[in-house]
Formats: sequence, structure tokens, C-alpha cells
Amino acid sequence: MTSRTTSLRVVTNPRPPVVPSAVLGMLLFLFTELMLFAGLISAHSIARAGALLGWPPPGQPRLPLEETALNTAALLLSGALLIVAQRVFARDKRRTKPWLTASIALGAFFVIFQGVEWVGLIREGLTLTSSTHGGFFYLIIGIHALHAVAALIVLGMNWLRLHRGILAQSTFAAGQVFWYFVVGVWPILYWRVYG
Amino acid sequence: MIRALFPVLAILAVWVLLADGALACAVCSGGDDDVKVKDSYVAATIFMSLLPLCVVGGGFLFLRHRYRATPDE
Repeated sequence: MTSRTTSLRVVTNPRPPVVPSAVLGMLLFLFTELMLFAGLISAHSIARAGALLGWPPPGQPRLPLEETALNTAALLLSGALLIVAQRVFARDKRRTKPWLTASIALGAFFVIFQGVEWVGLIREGLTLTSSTHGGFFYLIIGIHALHAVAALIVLGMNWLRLHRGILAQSTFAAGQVFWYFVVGVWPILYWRVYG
Repeated sequence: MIRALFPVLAILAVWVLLADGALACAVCSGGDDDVKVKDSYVAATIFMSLLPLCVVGGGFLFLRHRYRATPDE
């Protein structure tokens, strides 16, 4: 009769993950989204270069560059506040809430301001079907707004978890990465679409 | 092996050297002779080609940096 000996190696202190799974998943998702925006911006640039009657086309309103600059500042400030929130979170979780709240509030301001801007543009005659200019504007800026709303929902869920005292570092980091993407892509869209 | 590739390389060279420039997109001023449009196509092609390479390369460097910064068990 033979006996088989099995040796088990018990790892008491495993190596921590290089990148938390939630963050890695979010990064992979955002890579595909980045390519989506890149494709849209490339198509917009080609259409704009080929516009024979100028851009915006005659009869179409000019995009509100100055007002949107204020909105851009609000979004960038929101991103900066989230960086502060992340640093405070690493030291003392209880003091994070005001920073996260301010960041979400500024992000919500950005989305609402854009909604108001859209209502004004529609009244001036810029619609999805009024011209290529309108089509590209609502498609690109609309998709960005959709991402902003989704990221705000994620940050809102993080806020709730923080309020209950169950927010994990990796969950918070994934939400942050999403919001930084929304904030980071916006200046490029502002420069290419509004400029 | 290399000799076997000569005909293929020759065909490719002739194809590249003799082909006219073509703008393939049929819906956005395809085939337009406008210099601005052509420049936009070239810029968009370079941008769309390099962006994923830069992102993947950046991701690799980020992971390597994080791996080295993470302490062993």
C-alpha cells in the first residue's frame, strides 16, 4: 500500500494586486470609450474641413464658446476636488464627504448647464437634423453628457457607501477613474467642437 | 524563404508606387481634391493609428511601474 503525500503551501500574506480588479475593468471599458470619442472627433474634423460654405453653415447658430468656458472651468474644478477627496480619503475617510459632495455638485452643475445651453440652441434652430454641424454637435456632446451622467451616478453610489461607512478604496478608485475620463476628454471636445 | 517572398514584395511595391491616392469614405466628401480635406484625412489616420498604440504602451508602462512599486509577499 502506497501513501501519497500532498504538500500545501499556505500563503499567509499574499502579494496585493498590482491594480484592483474594479479599476482594471474600468480602464478597459474607458479604453473602448476613448476610441469611440477619437473616431467621432476624427469624423467631425473631416466633415468640418470639407464644409464648402464655412463652419457653422449659413443659417446655423454659433456655439456658445464663452458660456461653455465657464462650464468647462466648473468641470475641471470638479475633477480637482475629486483629487483632493481621494487624498483626504487615504488619510481620514470621515473627512472625505464634503470634498466628494462638492465634486458631484459641480459635475451636476456642468450637466444641467449643458441642458440649458441645448434648449437655447434648439430654439435658435440647431437640431440633430438641421445640418451636419448640428448632427455632430448633439452626437459628440450628447455622448459626453451621457458619460457624465453615468459617472455622476457611480460617484453618487460611492457617496452613499461613504455615508454608510462601507466604501472600499478600490470601489472609490474605479469611480474616480471614470470621472477623470469625463473631465479629461472634455477640453479636447471643447477645443475641437466649440473652437 | 526570402526568395519565395520576392514576388509578393515586388507586387506590393508596384501596387504602392502605382496606386493613385484614394479617399475611401463615400459619405464625407470622398475623393475631394481639397487640400484641407486631404490634410484632415491624413491627420485623422495618424491620430487613429497612434492613439491605441500610445494607450496600450502607456498602460503597459503604468502596470510595470505599479508592479515594481507593489511589495512582494
